[in-house]
Parts: sequence; structure tokens; C-alpha cells
Amino acid sequence: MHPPHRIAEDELIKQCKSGSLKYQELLYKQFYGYAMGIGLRYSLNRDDAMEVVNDAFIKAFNSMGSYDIQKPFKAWLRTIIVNTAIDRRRKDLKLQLNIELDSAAPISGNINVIDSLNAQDILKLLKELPAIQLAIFNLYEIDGYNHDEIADILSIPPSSSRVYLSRAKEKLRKLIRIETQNHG
Amino acid sequence: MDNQFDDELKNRIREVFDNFEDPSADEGWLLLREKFPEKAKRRPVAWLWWSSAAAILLLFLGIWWVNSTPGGKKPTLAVAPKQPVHTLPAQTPAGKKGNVLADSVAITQQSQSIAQNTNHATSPTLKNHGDKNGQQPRAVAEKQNIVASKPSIDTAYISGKLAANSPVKPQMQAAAGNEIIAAAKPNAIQKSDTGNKSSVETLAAVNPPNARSQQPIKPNTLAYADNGASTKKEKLPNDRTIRLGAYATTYVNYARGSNNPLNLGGGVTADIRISKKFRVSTGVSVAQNRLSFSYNNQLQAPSSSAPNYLALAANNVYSTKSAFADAAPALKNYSALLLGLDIPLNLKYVFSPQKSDTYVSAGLSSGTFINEKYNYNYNSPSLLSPGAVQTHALSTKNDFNGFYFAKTLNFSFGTSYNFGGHKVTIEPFVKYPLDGLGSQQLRFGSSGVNLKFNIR
Repeated sequence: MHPPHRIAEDELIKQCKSGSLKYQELLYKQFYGYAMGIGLRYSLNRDDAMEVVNDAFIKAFNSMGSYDIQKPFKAWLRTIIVNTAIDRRRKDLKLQLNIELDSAAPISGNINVIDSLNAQDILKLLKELPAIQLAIFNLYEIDGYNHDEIADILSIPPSSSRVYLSRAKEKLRKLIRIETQNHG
Repeated sequence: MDNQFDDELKNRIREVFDNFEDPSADEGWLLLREKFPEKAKRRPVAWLWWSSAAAILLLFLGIWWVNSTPGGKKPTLAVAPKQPVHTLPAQTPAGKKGNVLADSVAITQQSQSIAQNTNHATSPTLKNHGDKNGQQPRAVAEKQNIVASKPSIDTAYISGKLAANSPVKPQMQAAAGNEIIAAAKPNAIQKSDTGNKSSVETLAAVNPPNARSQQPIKPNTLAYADNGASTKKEKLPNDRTIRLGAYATTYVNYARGSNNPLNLGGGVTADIRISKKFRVSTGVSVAQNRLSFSYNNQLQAPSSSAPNYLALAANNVYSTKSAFADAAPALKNYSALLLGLDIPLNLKYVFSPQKSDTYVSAGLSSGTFINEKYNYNYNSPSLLSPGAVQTHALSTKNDFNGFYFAKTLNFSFGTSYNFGGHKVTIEPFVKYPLDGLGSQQLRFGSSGVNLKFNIR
């Protein structure tokens, strides 16, 4: 039996540019995990993340003609997914903007425990963050946006972005410490 | 300390989610397809309607055209005379037959008689017809004079036989075999068809009966009449603008890896003349296409000739998980039965339209599949019992699943023969696929012979 092989990314994208449904399916399935990894970090739950991912892929398929094949596809797809997730939660984010910043004191977490965190653990921690803090933490720390870009995306001042990020990180430290204490 | 913690957390999150795996891709794809239906196939539905409407319109136009052409009626050409035509006495044999117009005398002759008479056209004396009947010497003389008098008749009906037999001029013999050449005032000269093969012609003259004094016709005049009429003669049936035909076809389908079963089909065709040697050929045909593939437990089926799902399974879906790949279904054999509606549009070049109907044609085919049926058998290894294999059969059906446009290249060569008065064309052909066809995007062609019956 011949070992199956992955179709080259370039070939997939080229065929998707021509509108081939078959190759769109292949592309979707090849990048689905990656896309869900992003979608889950920004979403409230799994169904939400799947909707974000699907909406992002539809946008990607529709705008595949404008995609520059010389640039990394993952980065392009990531941008679409992040924007889709933010757009989807924009209503939540606006409501969150009115919530006063909590004044949690900085608490150091346990560094050793971080390496043992799996996707499930991380998502559990992230869910504890308010939507605005979650979005800014993801945008800044994981997806590499700067505060000016975040300010544009979320329509907030850059200074607010900094404050929300600081609060998000503090809260994560606190949560990890609590988790560490709970599990010995 | 906090910064180090934050960096560690950040890196850990990146590491985990950049390599995130999720098993719900299939489910996600199905959900996506609900929001993202295939757009490309919607537009061709309009093409189907337009193409069908155009084909039907073409068919009806052709039928109307055929019906509007009076069958069996010989073409008539009238040329205004330079001088008045003379009237003959009413008691001619033609008049007795009822072919005489009011205030005119008609001269009726059968082709044979004309031929005989014309043999003497350049002679001042008349011997035939009247002598034979023993009663109409004068009328015959009148006939002779009319045919022979240049000033009174500028042009004249002359049968092909007349032209062939006439010693008057070589050009006459070059006249079209059965064509009748008319040369008289339209109202004065008519042709009647008695139903006899040697057609009866009537010349009606409206002028006084002094034709006898007319000068004999010069040979050049007949030649002129012949040539003039030849250029103006009505189109032959072969020169019709649209020619309809019906055909039956037998052929084999070919595709990479497929057996080549024999198939049958049939349809109607219309040839539209666009120039002397070129015609546009179109029509509608219904044909059955059968394909059969065997894979001998090879997973890697050619993507162009296997069901998408299995090809996907074989190539990609289980791409990184060898355990899944081992347990993946292996395509054993696969068959497709497609009833296609084909609308070709070909350009036809006729080598020598006057002599024969031998041609080559090339063009493109569009169409749809009235129904498609796919049967596939596959082996699926049992995970619980290594070595055990279960065979499963699956079949899918589709009706009118989209329209394909110009996806088949056509080549053909044809030549016509007469069989019992009907023109039959034998046309070997090849259809080469430019792209995948049908819902499974099978890339297949066909090669065979059309047997065409031309409708008159």
C-alpha cells in the first residue's frame, strides 16, 4: 500500500485560486487545525471557534485571487482568522470597554508549571479573561500586533491597550498560581 | 521574574496552538459548505436553458425552412424580353390541353419533342410533331419560330435534355443537366409540370401571331440564355442554407485506466451554410457513456478518474496518520454510467461541394448529463482482525447536475453516399476531453462512427 502524501501547499493554493472545490476542501482540512488553534484562543467555546474558522475560510476562498503566493499562507490566513474573530466579538468587546479595570495586585506564577500546560489548560485559563483582555493578550503576545495596531482594530486608545494587556497578564499569573496551589 | 513568566507562558501558548490538531475538520467542512455552496455551477444552469432554447429554436427554424420550400417544384426564372412576344393561334394542341393563357397561345411540348424540334432549330423547315400527329403543322411551325426567333424571345425555357441534344452551340451542352432555363417575360412564359418525368413546358406568348416572319434565332442567343440562366438558377437542394439530419452513433469511451465498453447514441443535426465550402454544424444528441475502472487494491487512483471522496481519502485526508492510512478504504473497482446530452458546435469544411459531400469538421461540445450513476466497490481492512478485508459497495446518482461548456474537442471526417434516393453520411469521429465531466469530473473521451440520414 502506498503511503499517502500531502499535496504541496503551493499546488493547493494554485488550484484554490482557480476555484476548485476539491482543492478548497483539501486546503481547509490541511489548515483546519492551525485555524482552530487561533479561533479557539479568541472564542468563547468550540462552536464559536468553528464558526469563526469557517467564516474566515470563506473569506479566504473568496479573496484567494488577491493572495500573493510569494507570501506565507499561514500568516495571511492568520490575519483573516484574527480579524474575523475580533469582528465576531466586537459587540462583546465594546461592552467590556465600559467595565472598570480591576485592580488585581501583581502575583507571580509558577514558571515550572507552564511547560506542562496543554491546549485544554491554556484555553481554560484564557476563558477566565474578560473579552477585551483576552483579545488584546492574544493580539499582542501571541499574534504579534503592536499597541497602535490593536488600538486601530479595537477602536480604543493605545494606552488602554497597554493597560488591558497588563491586567490580562496579571490575571493569568494569578490563575496559574491558584491552579498550581489547587493541584499541589 | 514576571517578564520571564510572561515570556514562558507566551511561548508555551504559541507552541501549543501553532501545532494544534483538531479532529473535527470533516464536520467543519460540512458546516462550511452550508454557508459556502459551490458558486461556479450555478451560472451554467442559465447556460443550459439558453443553449437548449437556442437548439430548439434552430431546430424549428430548420423545419420551417424545409417545409416552406415547395417540394418537387422546379425553379422558374423569368427575364423580361427585349421585344414583344408573339401570340400564337389558340387552336394549338397546347391549347387543347388547357395550358393556353387568355389572349395568348401556349406551346406545349414534352422534352423529347423539344429535343427533336431543337435539332432543327437552325433549319428553316419543320418536320416533327405536327407530322407525327398529322394535324398541327402550323402550331409546330409556331413553336419552331418562337424558339428560333431572336427578336421575339430573348430568353427561353430549355430543358437540360434540350441543351444536351441541341447542336446549336457547345455552351448549351454545358448547361445543368436537369435544370430548366427560362427566357421569356414572366407573365408570358410559364412552365407546367404534368408529373411526367419529361416535363411539359408551356410557352405563352401575348403578341400577335406574326412570329413566322421573325428572324431565326442565332446560336449565340441560346448560348446567352443558357449562361445567363445558369448564373441565376435557383440553389440546388445540396446548397440549402440549413440542412437537417438525424443520426445514430456507436462508439467507445476511453479514459485512463478504464475499460472501453461499446456505447450507443443518437440525435439530430443541423448544418448551416456560411460559405461555399464552410458550414457550421450543430445539433443535439443523447448518448450513453460507460466507464469501468479496476484498481487492484491500489489506493492511489488517478484523481481524474476516481470518485473525489476516495481520491481524497487516498491522497490527503489521512496524509499524516499511517494508522488511518492502513485502515483507509482501498478502491477495488469503480464504474460510471452517464446519459449525456451533447450540444456540439463544429466548423465543417467541404472539400468539393459540387462533386461530393466529403468533409472534415472540428469544434467543441457543451452539454449536461441527464443522469449519472456511479458504482464503486472498495475493500476496507478490519482494525480488529488484521488481514481481514470487508468489501463494501456504494452507489450515487445525480440528475442534471450542472452544465459543462466547451469541455470536449470534436474531430470528424465524413463522406456521403446515396442509398435508395437517400443521402447517408458515414462519419468517423473522435471526442477529446479538455476537462473533467460530470459531478465526479471524469476526464473521458469517445471515438466511433456516426451514421447520418439527411432529411430532405
